[in-house]
Amino acid sequence: MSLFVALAIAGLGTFLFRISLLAAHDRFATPAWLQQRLTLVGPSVLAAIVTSSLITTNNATTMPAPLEIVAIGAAVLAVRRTGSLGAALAIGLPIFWLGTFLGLS
Amino acid sequence: MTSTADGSTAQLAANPSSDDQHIERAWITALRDVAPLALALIPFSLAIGATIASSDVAAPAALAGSLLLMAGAAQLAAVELVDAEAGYVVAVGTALMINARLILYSAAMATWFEGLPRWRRLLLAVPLVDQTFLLAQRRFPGRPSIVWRQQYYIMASGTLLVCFVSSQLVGFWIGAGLPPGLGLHLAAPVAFAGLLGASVKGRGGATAAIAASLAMVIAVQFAGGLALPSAAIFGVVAGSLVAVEES
Repeated sequence: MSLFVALAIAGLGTFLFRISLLAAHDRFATPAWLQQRLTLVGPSVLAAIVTSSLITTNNATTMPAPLEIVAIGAAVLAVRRTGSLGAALAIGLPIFWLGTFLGLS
Repeated sequence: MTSTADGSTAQLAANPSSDDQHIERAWITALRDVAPLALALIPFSLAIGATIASSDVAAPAALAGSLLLMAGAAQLAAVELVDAEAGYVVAVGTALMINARLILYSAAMATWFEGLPRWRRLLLAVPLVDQTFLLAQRRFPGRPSIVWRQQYYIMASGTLLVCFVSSQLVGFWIGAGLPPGLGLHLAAPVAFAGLLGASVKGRGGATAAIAASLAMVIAVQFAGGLALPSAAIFGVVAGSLVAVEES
């Protein structure tokens, strides 16, 4: 097996994941209770991704850096206050840069 | 409700010029929404390209992974594992475990494009990623027009894909020349945190986010590639319990 074939197989499997319940939906309508639960998938996945990025470096578990927590917390608050997704990068990253410049990292 | 040429059913406004305006707004809204996420994707993709450049794997195959998988974390993990001589089976298995969360997304997608021909829905599923799922979940409720949804989804997906692939190529070309102190590793988490801030609604959503976050701290120690989907499922279950009480 070559790397290309391995990635192609993984790509095919990933596509099957992407269409799995989409295809099932043709035979079985998505029940209302499941549709309600699906609104919780977004916050759950996002929280898990953000947490993972804070506590892992090069596939090893580490203590989260306080400055990174502050930057991410500021990004959440900025979007909650303004309603604009762009505010996350506009506030979060400069706070991290400023903290790094001041030697807080 | 208006039937389109391909037999699909879409809800369109009666006035054609109004339709055009709506579609134009779909493109613009999608561009505006996806811009910060696409920007945040660039440093991550640069890092993947730089990793490929510094590894011993076949570079064309590894770079082709951006289009074969359309999933950065899985591509990076697979390339790193092959480079570390962990074996192709382990690399494929790990990539699939990382992408298992897409099963949850496909359930939501089934409801977004209901009424479109099956082949078109399957085609639309090809570029389904975290960003497009989360943007659609935020924008599609209250938007009944399938035409609007398709335009929005295609624009968002296309923008992300172009950024993803081109940044990887640039990262590969630059190699290890990326400046280290810029904190670019934080761009994607910050953008996702912003999206989290926008997507949490009610006590159920807040509980889901907190529970998934706590579960991730534990799962990352034991669950390997399944940490993300298992933490997400835990979050959904915890959030559901609170949402049921709330309702």
